[in-house]
Amino acid sequence: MQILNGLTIGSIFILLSSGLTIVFGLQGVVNCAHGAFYMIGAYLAVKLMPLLHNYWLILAIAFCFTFGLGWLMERLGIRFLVRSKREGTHILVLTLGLAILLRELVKIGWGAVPQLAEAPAILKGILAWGPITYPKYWLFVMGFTAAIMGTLAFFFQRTGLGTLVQSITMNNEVSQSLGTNAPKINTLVFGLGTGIAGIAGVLSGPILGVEPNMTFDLLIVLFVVIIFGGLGSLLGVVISGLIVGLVISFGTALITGMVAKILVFVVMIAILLVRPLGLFGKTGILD
Amino acid sequence: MLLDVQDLHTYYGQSHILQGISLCVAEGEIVALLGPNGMGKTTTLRSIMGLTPPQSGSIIFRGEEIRGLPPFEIARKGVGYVPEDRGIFKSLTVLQNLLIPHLNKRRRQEWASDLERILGLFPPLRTRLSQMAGSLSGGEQQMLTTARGLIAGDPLLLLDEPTEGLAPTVVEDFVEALQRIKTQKITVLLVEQNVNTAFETADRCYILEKGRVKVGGTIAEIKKKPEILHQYLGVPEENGSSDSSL
Repeated sequence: MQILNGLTIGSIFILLSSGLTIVFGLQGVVNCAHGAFYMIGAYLAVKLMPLLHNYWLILAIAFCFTFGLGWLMERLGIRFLVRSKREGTHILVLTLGLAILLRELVKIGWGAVPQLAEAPAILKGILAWGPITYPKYWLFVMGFTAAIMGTLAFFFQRTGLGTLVQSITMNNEVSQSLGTNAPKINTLVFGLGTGIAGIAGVLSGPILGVEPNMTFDLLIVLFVVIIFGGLGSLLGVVISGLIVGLVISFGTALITGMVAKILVFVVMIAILLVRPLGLFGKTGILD
Repeated sequence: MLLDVQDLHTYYGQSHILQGISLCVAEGEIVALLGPNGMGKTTTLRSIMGLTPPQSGSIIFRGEEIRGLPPFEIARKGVGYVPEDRGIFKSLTVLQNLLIPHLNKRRRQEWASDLERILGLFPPLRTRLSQMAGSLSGGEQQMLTTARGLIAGDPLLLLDEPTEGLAPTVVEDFVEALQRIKTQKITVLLVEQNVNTAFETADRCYILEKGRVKVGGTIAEIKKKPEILHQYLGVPEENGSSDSSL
């Protein structure tokens, strides 16, 4: 039971950190507003469900909307800071400021009271398998995450655009001197990352609840996941996302939630002592 | 003229690296940039490619001003660039490395013939196509990056120090490959530290000193002027003169 809980929570971590880590690998940008897109996805699900009654349509809308927002954010803000080599503090201020702004706007518009999103009718109920019973929806979240990560791996490994993304990650300058329109691809991938965060928001709404503070709640844990996995590594976040999910799940059940979060850092520090670059810290996205 | 560079000025921060470089390259020529380190040879190539944008001057490529364009647009006009450190994508396969210029040009139908042409110039790459580029030897990596530059650089290739750090026998192989390139009427602007390699492959050369072109001419002309070779390229003067000066 705790294993399944851990894997479900881990799935949300994986989805959220995949976008963060890909963008970091590509542009060296840490997007502190990532959680805001997650929150927006979750709110879209809560607010659109009574109108549309179609979970799948809402997933698609949430992806497109958060993709578009992320696209604009890169195109109108991040790009110029990266170009003028002001990565560090300027980007921190921009992304953090934007995150706070979006959170406060949501608070003003929809209030700060936590809500629970509704799972789609078809996925309601419990699946019993011998002595183990488990909510169908939680299993669906794991399956859906696996499908998205599979699609991402296929995209990076097998498509021409994916090859170009990898080449920018490995050497931006050389890739551009071979004709790669890196600025355009960076914007696209940034949007892809925030779009997946939007999907994660829709998925997690019925499990973790929906409130403005989700903008920052998971951020620290996500940083742990991507550092632990090796910055920029997709395979790394899958493994470390699951490990962190399991640690939190067992820690919460056996001790308390607070201790569980501390435990995550203990595990991370222990692993970084052995592997300073994280589990899969290398140069490429798929390494 | 395929490439006509006039009065190029480039800065790195406060330091004035190129102080008015002018040079030209005709179609089918191999032109070498020579001179000691730190005189602006690499910066000249990077300026043409748009990687270190020049402050002033003009770069006319095929009759069109390309100064100020982003590197990827300059590349798409047919300028290939091979950096000094080779810049291969180590975690991609050899084939994927070669494919990148094509993915950007979107000329899929020419891919097969381009690949054949390139493998004809660098036969050792043929058996390595599915290997990770990082697992190649130094000489093979140089072949790969040059081959990749040739696919992107049709009609002009900018080649920076291709023989640096290679074993002498590997350098010989590479010089042969350059001579094969020459027979195919590919245009190359070559930066070379090794004067002999440059003399074996190039038609003309420019000698750079402190960000300016000091001397320019055909290899045959330059070879006839031992004082130039001695002064700028560190080639010892012929026996008679150097002995008598002692």
